[in-house]
Amino acid sequence: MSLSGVEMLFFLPAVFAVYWLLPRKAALQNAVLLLASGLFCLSWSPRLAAVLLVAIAVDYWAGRFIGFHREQSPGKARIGLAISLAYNLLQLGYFKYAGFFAEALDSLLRTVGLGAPLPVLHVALPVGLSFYTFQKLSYVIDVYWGRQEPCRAPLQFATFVAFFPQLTAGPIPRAGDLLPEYAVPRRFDLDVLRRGAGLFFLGYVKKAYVADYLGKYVVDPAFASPGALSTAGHWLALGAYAAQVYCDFAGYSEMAVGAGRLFGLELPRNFNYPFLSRTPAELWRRWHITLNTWLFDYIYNPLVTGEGRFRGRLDLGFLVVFLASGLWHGARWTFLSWGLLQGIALVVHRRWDEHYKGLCRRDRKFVALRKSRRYATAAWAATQLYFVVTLLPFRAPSLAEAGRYLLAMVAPHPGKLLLHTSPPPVRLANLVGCLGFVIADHWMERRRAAGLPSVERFFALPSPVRGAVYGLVIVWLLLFVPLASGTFIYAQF
Amino acid sequence: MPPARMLRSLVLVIVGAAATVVGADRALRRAAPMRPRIMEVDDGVAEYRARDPYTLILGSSHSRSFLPVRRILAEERHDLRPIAVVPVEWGTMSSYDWVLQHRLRPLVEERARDGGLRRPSLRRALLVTTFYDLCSSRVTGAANLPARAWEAHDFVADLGDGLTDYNRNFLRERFRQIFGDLLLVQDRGYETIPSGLIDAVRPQPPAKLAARRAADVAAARQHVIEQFEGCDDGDEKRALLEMLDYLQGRDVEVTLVEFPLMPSLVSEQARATTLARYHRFAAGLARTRGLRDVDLTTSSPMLDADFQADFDHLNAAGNEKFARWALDHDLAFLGGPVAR
Repeated sequence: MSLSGVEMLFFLPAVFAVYWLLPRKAALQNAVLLLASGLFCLSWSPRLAAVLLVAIAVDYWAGRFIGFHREQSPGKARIGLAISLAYNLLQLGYFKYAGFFAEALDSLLRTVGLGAPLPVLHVALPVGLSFYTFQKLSYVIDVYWGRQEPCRAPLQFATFVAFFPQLTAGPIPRAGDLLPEYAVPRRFDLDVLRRGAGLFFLGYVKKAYVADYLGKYVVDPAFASPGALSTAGHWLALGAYAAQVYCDFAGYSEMAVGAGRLFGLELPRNFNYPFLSRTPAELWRRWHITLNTWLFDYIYNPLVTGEGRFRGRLDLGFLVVFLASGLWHGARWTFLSWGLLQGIALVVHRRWDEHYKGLCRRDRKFVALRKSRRYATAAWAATQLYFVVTLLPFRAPSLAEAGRYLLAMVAPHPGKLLLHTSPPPVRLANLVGCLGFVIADHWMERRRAAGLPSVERFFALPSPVRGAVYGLVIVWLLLFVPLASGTFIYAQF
Repeated sequence: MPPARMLRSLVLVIVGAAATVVGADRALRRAAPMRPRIMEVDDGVAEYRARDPYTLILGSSHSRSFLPVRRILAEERHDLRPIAVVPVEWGTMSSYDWVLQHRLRPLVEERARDGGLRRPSLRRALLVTTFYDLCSSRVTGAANLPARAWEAHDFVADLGDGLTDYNRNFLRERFRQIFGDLLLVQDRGYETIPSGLIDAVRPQPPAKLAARRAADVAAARQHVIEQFEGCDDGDEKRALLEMLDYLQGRDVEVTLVEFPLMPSLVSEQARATTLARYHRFAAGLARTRGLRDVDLTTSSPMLDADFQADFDHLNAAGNEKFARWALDHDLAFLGGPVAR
């Protein structure tokens, strides 16, 4: 089941109705959500639902065990933490990385002439594993460090982990933020519901229209036969891919947050207009926020502020964090390369920043330059260009393919601008519609951040007029949302 | 904002949105008319249930061309023996077999309180096919039974491996049915609205339209030739044999109808390869299994003009022409008793 699949038209209203029609008691509400999440999980695969159930049980136990022992016998608490870490990392390693490492070892052995073929592992990845594993790990680690009280109610904990809107592709909520919400009865608040429905709709537009349209008609054909594209076509397809991956993931996250609000729960925000960023650091504070804060809180900070070899070695910390991010996305050299490139960007930016601060200390004109529009524009362009180009290994099936694509972007190359075969007016309308939507979305946020009126103007319109606008958007969606829209890029991670 | 005001605002937004969608839908019908509702498996099964038919007409979407045959038999030739027509859109032999085994067989074998068959009249079956019905799912894509033929319990029974792209089609079809009155919903997947709008704004010159049609016909003609590969599938043949086993086992006279193709699609090469092979197979079955084979692939008087723009199905006038001609010629036996 997918949040943007046709099944949600049946499933979500049914769960919503049962949830709010039953007496408003926290346990009952959690039970309804857990049951719905169980059905959601079963719809992906009954076998894989069992994996989630065991994972919940292990970390519920670990949390309670660590909480019980952390004051009196820290050694036992450490054992509890070690068991949880080992379980989660081994599970992640088995389902996600076993095949990759077996293949890498196999290829290494062949290279050195010890070519006894290893059995190739084809393990089905339980849906959402990377997301809920990180969610549970943060809970257990926080309990260990005393930043979080262990959850005593198994129903509450299970609902916190398995809540269906967030299950397949995040956001990755923290126990400290969300567990308290599950502890109290949620009340029916029309304003929260309205905002939830609005955000769900906005996320749907991003995902089902922008991401799926660009993916199906611009990006996928381009990467399937890149030789048929012109140089400009290569750039257009890669730019479209940046918009696709953003709208796919941000759209899903907004649908998840919106669905959460429909049940009176506030999931964390996962994207904050990343295409407005002027530095790599800012970009990663705006993109997949819950994963990046997780990586910085649980890997980077302990590394660079701890007592080990990494203490104070900020650059190395960046590289480790982004290699981990690459690995989190999948066990492929392409993802690792992508992570490395992002880490390098942060290192270069940090060094540049320090260098520039030195210039500023020597000459105040550099301070003025940094505040100028020219500097901001150049910084924005450099950040975005780097981000878009380094998406190549993220999208390409192999590093060699990524290299070939990159070459075709820089060397003059005859070919078509688009491989999409629908009539030209339809193509043009949808390209403008998709890319225009992403630009308008960011532009409005920029106005809002600058204190200028943006979406407020729309919400100030009379209700029937707003309804008519929504109606026109629905008409457009019915015309152009590709059939079978439903799968998410990030559901595979 | 006070809750009452907010609720009022919310209702007005929903009403405004719904009115806009319905209004746009009605306006767009000028560019792309609403498709007439076509007969589906459910309708055919309901007919079977209600009529206790003497003749069952089962098979591809071409089975719908037998509705005028039924009408003419009843109204003009006063043959009142009931006929049930069960068309399976975009199917192959295996999907017709599925419909026979899962949807029709329970009705055929249903018993009344006295132990006798509730519907004892079935004597004759026409299986309406083309060479395409032996194409493997590699060529056709999986037949869309979830959308066309499943009931809710079939959907639930298929959830063992979770919700898949295949069984999700059941839900998609339910969605289409809920919004059956909206052109915008019915047109999804066909995309006639955008091209209709473009044509309305900038009509194509007749020469260009003719050239496009000629190119489409040439592609379809080539497609028939290419379908020599992959359209002799063992599983599909087994499905046909299973249908024959069941029907003949119940003493039902079976006729295999090879439905007419649009003349322009039939090249000499296709005649000698794809079509000849299917006809050999059908004729062989007729000999070995004692059934009647009626090959109308190229022998009917149907012209290109009798076919719809999809080059596959007969249009209304074509259906009428087909029915009258067939009842006077190869299907004249429908007016008589079954052969013993």
